Amino acid sequence: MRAGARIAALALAAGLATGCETVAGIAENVQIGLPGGAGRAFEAARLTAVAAPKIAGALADIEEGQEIELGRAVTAAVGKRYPVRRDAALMRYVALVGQAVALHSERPDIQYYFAVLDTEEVNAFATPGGFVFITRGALRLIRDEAVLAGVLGHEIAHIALYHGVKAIKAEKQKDLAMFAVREGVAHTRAAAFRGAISSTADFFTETVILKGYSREQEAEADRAGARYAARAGYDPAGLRDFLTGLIDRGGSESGLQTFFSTHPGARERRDEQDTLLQKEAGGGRRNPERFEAAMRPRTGEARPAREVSTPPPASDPYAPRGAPIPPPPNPQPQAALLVAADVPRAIESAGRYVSRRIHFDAGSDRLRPESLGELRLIAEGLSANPTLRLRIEGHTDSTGDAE
Amino acid sequence: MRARVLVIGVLLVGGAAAMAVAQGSPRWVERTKADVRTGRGSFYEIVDTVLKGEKVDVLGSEARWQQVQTPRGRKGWVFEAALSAKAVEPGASDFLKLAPSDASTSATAASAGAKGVYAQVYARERGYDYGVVTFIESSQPPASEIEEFVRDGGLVLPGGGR
Repeated sequence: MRAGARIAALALAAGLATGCETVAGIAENVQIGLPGGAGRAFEAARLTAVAAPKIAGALADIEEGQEIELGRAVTAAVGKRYPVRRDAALMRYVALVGQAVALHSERPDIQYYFAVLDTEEVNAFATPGGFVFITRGALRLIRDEAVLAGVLGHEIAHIALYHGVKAIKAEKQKDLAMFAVREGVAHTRAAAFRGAISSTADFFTETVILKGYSREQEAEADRAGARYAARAGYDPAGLRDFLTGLIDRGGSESGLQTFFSTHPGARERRDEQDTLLQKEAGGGRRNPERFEAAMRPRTGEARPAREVSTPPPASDPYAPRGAPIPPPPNPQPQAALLVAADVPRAIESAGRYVSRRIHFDAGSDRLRPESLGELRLIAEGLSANPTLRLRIEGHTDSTGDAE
Repeated sequence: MRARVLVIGVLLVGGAAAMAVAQGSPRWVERTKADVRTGRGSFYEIVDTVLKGEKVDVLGSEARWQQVQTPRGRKGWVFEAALSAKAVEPGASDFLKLAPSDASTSATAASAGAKGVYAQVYARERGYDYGVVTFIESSQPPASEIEEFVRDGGLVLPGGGR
């Protein structure tokens, strides 16, 4: 069964079986029209022919409502470990890209939520039931919307393909499952459900969020994520480009260790994407300008970050009477996504700093205005390090005449 | 110019055919519950929530979504995976599968208000700040903004619409 998947995915990560027997042999499929043939190779590479309703049936002992409630609990646990970036404009942009991609997943009918974690660590992850996180460190490595779409698509796939739910089942964390078949009066069921949510949320945060999904699930999420992005109209090479960027930077760079420990086999994953992309017609949107505008509000023209206060929980029947409303959490200092010090740091650690953000008008030596923020940043980074000796290179595309 | 008119013509005929096939056929809810929304996506407003075994009338379909009329006369879109072409009998214990907050109140009220109750208790027990979840849930873009974002970015909605 699924020999291809085994070759591509090498070995399973220790301790996490995938529970793939629940979907084996399901051939019926949800047919989706493919605009312009985008994502066809990724479509063909769908090694587990996934029929979302069938999986949902097979996993019926964890109901959707429970899964979503679990997602909220895990999100609260994630918020304890990483500060959530309270930048509504940035979060909204990430969510817009994510929603555009999620519409094309096997599970477009559950609500997805997107958030940015304020850490230099490079990482992205998903909880069961719809919460997707990407770190500031990961956003800094991303150059355009297609890459972001690929990364978010990968995380959406973990949710749409029930990877979290399967991981819970594989770990024999049966609390939620046991709850589902338990019968009884409402208040004892409520108590059982609370207990199940707590133990499962702890398990999920410790095991899956901090250690990652199995390699096979990562490989499956790559194929699915690139497929969703392609269907949404993005260049399907985005995810490959992200992986390539990580590999080029290497695991020694600070912030990347976490990514490589929770996402092993980056090279194999990149190579598989490469193979699939060779069968793709290419094309699709990258929207670098829009990405730029959303990511760099603080380095070019300052755009005020919208302040958002956290409203108190709407209804909380367990709150003691007269309990004071908790104060909103301390706002985190908001670092720019890319800071000037990154430039000399990259030159020292990787031997080079590559910018794809400096553009000229076609056939002209006139700089495009969106390049100014980047140039200013590089200038700042370099003037703080006057001892660096540099060679500056530029490359052109094939547009325009050869003169 | 002529080519464009032709293409549009073919699309319209195709769409009408798909509508005609699906029109008026009954479907039964085979999930414990399913939300009926104003559009084909999870970020559209909920107009009704249908429960397992309830019969809906299909008015049309597009890109894996069925436009239905619910037993309460509301019209909206449901994801096709929630519906069955064969009659579904709700099991005696089906309502127990809903999260307790859902079972203790009407399904619509549950989907509107009572969410997060158990996760909030968990967060308090562990000393986590549940405000993070509230902040994330309340900061997502509305449907109109998502549609505009897709259009402006040259992206594709399910079914190929731009």
